[in-house]
Amino acid sequence: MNTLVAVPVVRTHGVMGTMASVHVHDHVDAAVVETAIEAMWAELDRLEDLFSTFRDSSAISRINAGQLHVLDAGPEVIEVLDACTWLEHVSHGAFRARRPGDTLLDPAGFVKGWAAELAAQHLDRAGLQHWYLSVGGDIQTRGSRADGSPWCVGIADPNDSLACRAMVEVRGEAVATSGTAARGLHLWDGRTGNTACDLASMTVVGPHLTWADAFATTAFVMGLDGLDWVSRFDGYRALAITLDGDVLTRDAEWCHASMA
Amino acid sequence: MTDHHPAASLGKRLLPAIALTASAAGLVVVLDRPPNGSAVDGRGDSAASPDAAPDTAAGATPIPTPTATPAPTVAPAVPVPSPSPSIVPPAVSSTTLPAAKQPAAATTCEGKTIDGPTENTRWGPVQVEAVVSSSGQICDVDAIQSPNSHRRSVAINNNALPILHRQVMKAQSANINGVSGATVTSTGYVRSLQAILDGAGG
Repeated sequence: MNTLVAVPVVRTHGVMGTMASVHVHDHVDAAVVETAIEAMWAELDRLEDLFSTFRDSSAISRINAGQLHVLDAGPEVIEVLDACTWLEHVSHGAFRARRPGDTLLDPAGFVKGWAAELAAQHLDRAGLQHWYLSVGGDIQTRGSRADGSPWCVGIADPNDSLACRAMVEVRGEAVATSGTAARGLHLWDGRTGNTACDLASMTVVGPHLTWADAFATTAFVMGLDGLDWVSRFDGYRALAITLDGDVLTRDAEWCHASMA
Repeated sequence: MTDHHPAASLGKRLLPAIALTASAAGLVVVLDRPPNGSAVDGRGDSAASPDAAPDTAAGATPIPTPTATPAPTVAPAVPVPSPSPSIVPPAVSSTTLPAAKQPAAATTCEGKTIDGPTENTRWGPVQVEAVVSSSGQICDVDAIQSPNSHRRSVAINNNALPILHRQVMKAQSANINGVSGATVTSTGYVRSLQAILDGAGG
């Protein structure tokens, strides 16, 4: 087998209140890589400007303030709200872009993964085929590492930021985790409005970060039922870490793969 | 927390599971058919059922019509008792690029077997056995002693990912590219494993 020798390019960027990092293993002109990464960061910043509920100037804030009608908010906002509506239906309301009893939009549970995957198209367009992008712990990969081995993603120990409780190997797939460990109780069950507290974290692996992230957020508030719920989606599988630190999955194949 | 994992032998657990899976598969085939043209999103835009892919492409490439894949449908009213992959999420502008490659194929990795020390965890004594290649990569990890005395742990060991020894995980982290976890703040990142992997940590 031909072994590519490439020095991975590693870049980080603060965005959406967290940190994004990208590792590119393609053996190509460094300028191509740098240009693509810069374009990706710019796109992430642009999408944050559009959707952040922390910025009064964002489209979402202006909609919530009654200054902008949803239908005038542009295709991206409508696309995100459409997708949120779909999620709300397939989750029986566990996912919501509005809190119960509240008319304000907050699609934050969907936007990060969607924005990351959308921005990462700049890497694809530049012809890069071996990379992984992490935006605050939600990861999209493409291809494999420079030596042909799969990307190895640790699933964080919710109680120890320097340790992992499990590991998955992916080639081109996305890995997203939702939990309350890092930021406290900020996830709520769309059906009741209560904050979710059954699990320490929920991880979803699948082809697209958009859905892996959205499903992880949704399944987390469902508790252990979320494991089965995720399995209903073609190509997606879930892993939960309970408050006691137990690692659970329904996916026997994944269990094997994670140990490969 | 509901007990989904009564302690029982693997065989006893598997039989009903297989039966359930078979019946659930039948159910899902019936229930997950797209409800032709039903506008169920309550917003009155009859042209776009929520099951159809959102039709705006956010200035990106056009979204391929998902004709080859069954439209994702509203979940059936009857709970589906076992995993039955059947719903394909809609394409949105972030997902229009090439489909991901197949999940990890098993890679060949051979080496010598090393037994780790027995360590007492909160769930009971754990000892792992690792196969380590000549280059130092951990090819395989197996629990040769696990906390079977704990009811939940038994269920976990039969049903879920093996509990990996923390120190094995730490050793293995040299080989990890990224860490997926609950979103950390920019400040939290500095102390995270991801930061170390990015070369940005202390």
